[in-house]
Amino acid sequence: MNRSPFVIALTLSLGLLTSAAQAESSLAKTIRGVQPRIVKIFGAGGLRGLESYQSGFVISPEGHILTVWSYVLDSSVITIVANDGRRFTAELVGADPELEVAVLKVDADDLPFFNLDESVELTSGQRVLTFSNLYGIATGDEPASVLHGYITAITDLQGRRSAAEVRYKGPVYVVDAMTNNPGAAGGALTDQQGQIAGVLGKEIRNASNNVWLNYSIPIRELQNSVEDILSGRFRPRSRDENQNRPMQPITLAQLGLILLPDVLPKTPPFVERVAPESPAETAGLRPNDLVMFVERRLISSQRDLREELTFIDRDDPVRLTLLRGDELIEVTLNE
Amino acid sequence: MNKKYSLAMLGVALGFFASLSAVIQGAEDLNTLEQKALREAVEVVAPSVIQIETVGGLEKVGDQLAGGGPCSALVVSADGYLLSSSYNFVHEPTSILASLPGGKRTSAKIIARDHSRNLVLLKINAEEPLPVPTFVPRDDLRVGQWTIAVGKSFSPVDANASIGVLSALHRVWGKAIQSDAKISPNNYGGALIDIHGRVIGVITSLSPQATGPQAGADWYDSGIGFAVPLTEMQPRLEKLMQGEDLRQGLLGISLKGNDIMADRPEIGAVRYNSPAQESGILAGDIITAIQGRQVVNHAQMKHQLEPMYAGDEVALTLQRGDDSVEVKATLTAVLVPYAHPFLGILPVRDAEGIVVRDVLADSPAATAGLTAGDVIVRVNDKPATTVDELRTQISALEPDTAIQLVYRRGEEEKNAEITLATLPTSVPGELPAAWSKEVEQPAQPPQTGEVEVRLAEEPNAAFAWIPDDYHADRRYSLLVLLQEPGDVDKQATIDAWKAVCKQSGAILLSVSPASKERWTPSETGVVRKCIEQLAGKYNIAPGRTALVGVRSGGAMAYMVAFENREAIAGVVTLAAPIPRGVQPPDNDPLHRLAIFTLYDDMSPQAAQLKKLDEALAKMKFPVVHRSAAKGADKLTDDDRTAITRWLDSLDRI
Repeated sequence: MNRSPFVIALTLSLGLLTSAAQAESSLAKTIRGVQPRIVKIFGAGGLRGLESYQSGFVISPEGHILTVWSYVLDSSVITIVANDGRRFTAELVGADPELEVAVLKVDADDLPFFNLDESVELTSGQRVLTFSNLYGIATGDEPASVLHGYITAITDLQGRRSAAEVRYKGPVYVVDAMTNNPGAAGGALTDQQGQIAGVLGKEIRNASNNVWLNYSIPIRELQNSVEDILSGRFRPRSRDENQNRPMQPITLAQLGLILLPDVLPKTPPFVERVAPESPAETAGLRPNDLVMFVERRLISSQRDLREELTFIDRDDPVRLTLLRGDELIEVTLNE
Repeated sequence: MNKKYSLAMLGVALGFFASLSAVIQGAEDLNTLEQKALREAVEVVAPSVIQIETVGGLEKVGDQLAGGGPCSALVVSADGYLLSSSYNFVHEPTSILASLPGGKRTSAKIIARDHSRNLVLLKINAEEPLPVPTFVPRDDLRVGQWTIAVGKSFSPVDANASIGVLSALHRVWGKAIQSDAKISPNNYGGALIDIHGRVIGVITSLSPQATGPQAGADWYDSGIGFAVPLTEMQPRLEKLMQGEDLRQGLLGISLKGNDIMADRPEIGAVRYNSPAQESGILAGDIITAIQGRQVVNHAQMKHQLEPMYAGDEVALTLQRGDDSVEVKATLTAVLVPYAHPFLGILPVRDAEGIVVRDVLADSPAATAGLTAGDVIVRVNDKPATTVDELRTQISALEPDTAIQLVYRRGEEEKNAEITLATLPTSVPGELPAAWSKEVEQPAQPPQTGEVEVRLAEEPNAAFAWIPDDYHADRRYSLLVLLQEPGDVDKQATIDAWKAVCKQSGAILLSVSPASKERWTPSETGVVRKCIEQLAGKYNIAPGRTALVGVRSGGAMAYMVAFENREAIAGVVTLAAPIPRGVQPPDNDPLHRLAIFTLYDDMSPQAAQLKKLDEALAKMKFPVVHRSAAKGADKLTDDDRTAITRWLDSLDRI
């Protein structure tokens, strides 16, 4: 009641100003805390435009380093440069070819490290930090580069089915920081408090729209695999792409579907004719129907449709979504 | 008093402690609060951003792999109209699907396109009303404020987002606002929103230089991205909903000068049958205001005019002499292709007044009986004093217009009524001398014969040949040979052209591509720089500068000419098409471009090349064709004579 309004104003403004400044310095502190855990990795490459360096981070007090599997590691000598400029020769402990991660070890027990058991899971819309040796600009005892970003989306990585370049198909964090750069692969993704959340992925394009994708694989997806590698239990998972395909898949002919001639790489799967007394006729398909989905998978061409059918056993029902005029119709064939 | 004081002190102390703990608390809070606000903003708009999937269509558009993956569209009306970026549909999908906020898929149709701002309007069948977001007027936006780019490229339910700030309010000539949030095919068609979740605009690919639905897409995720403010589109939505496409509005004027930041918007020519002509704009007028806003240079004028659409009415303030004139013009989507009117004379180049050097066969002047040596004194009751004035005056008239001409033959003054025609499409016969007077040689003539041309920063080989009777008081024609890749025999080139160049008063310039394999599009600038370097030392007439190229050199000649209209007046090609993806510009009253094509009429390529000739002629370029020898890949002596004679006649009126 007697308190001077001047005093209140003073304390309020003081509080606001310092907290804004403090917010900034807390981020700086976080970054300084993370950088010593990041390492630069040098190995094979350097020819035909391939880089010979990438990033990694320390994950144990014994000097284990997590990074992505790549041709950089395909070398008899892998060199690690720590944040303080020390150089080590690393040994490849093991790799998971499906997740495309590798664990290295250096002979050092004093490197600051991330405890993967304390990793955090992020949600879409979270602000994050990425740490990496992008473009190899950090040399010697220079700290790794930091980018500030935002979790754009959490989505399953859509690798092209025909291209074997990305085998991992699980969930990834998509970030709006430009991490899709030479040398960034294997770097760390953390939250704003510097807690480890993911490993930065290799340079790839989004299969659906051909845009370079900035992504990171969540630690929880890798943790079992990393533990298996560390404990020597690791057995690579099958990478047989055909393992889920039935021995005798269904074909268009068996369904009684005759499509327009397939003349272009992306000829749309329009029905031209329906064979009499076929599953297609029973299900009520008509000429000019456009096949849009097999189960929940969007079909963009005849090629796609044929490919998708190779995953369905000839005895199983086939659920199609058709576009007839403006109407979407669901039918089940081969019931 | 005392008590009061101690209370105040206590207050200070309390306040201090409170603020200390607020400092520690506030540090994390600010980061967390900011994150929370950003996320909430995305949640507010997410139901209004709809995932679109497309089926079928082209595999490749131009050289780029076409997207075709999921993209986004923004709800603009509850009954199912969505705006999206035309980039998402360049591959011409067979069908389009939209995922409703509830998760159900439905088919969508393109209703109309906005060709100026690269947008499409889609319509879906929505059983439930769709959530229409709140739109922010452009005037409420501030540079530096938060912007969030929101799309649905990864999931039909969860939006993907990228954070940035508002970089600029009036970009792409005022059509868009700019953000540094990552803007790419992942969110084209989505929403750019503010921190409250209100929509600033629809995200799309745009470029201030290029046009077409993919323009600017190569900038994706670079820190430069554009969104079209929605409040500006709202008044246009009804038109789009009726299925009418929107196109940029054209006025039909050519401005004098090339420096868009420095030159005043002075009208050099008015296209006939254009909105400008109908509204009474005249050559020589200076535009001082558009829609009441002052403009002092070309760039400011573009900022006002380019955002406008065909059908819009624009109010212009013009300075005409000492008067200020107000006019109103209704902009149009297409201008009638401009054809240069033709009188049929070649003027003597060093004469005072307009002396006829030659009357071209079958021209209006020939029909009216004019002959070499006549002097034109008056056109339509206006005294004709200089060749340039006469050319400008004629260029504003439509071919087929009748003019009254007064000319002097000896002592006698004669009248003629002449109906103008269009520029001829044949090579003239032998021409009389372009100069009437002998010139004295200056004390120190510049270097003639073979001259080295070297650009400091470019690896291209280039040389020139200057006639040995070169005189700085005369303006020379320039023939630029765009060589085919590989080594060039300098002496053989000079020997082949020397005689015909000397006879027609032309300088020869030869430029080779940097690579041994091909010309690259970026080398159009090199050619331009070589010409400028030569023009710095020798007196060259841009109106009689022509490019000559065989095959790939010819394709390059088209590109250089289309990009440098004010420096190039002619293109000569042997068996060369216009490169794919290169669009000929509109014919322009101020910058004449004549085209001379040579090819073997019996070759397999001929049909395609003939079609190209016809397309250019349809755009009203004067196209001269000469049949080349069977399977010709080199120019013959006769070809060279025809080319230099044609070049010598390019200053015809």
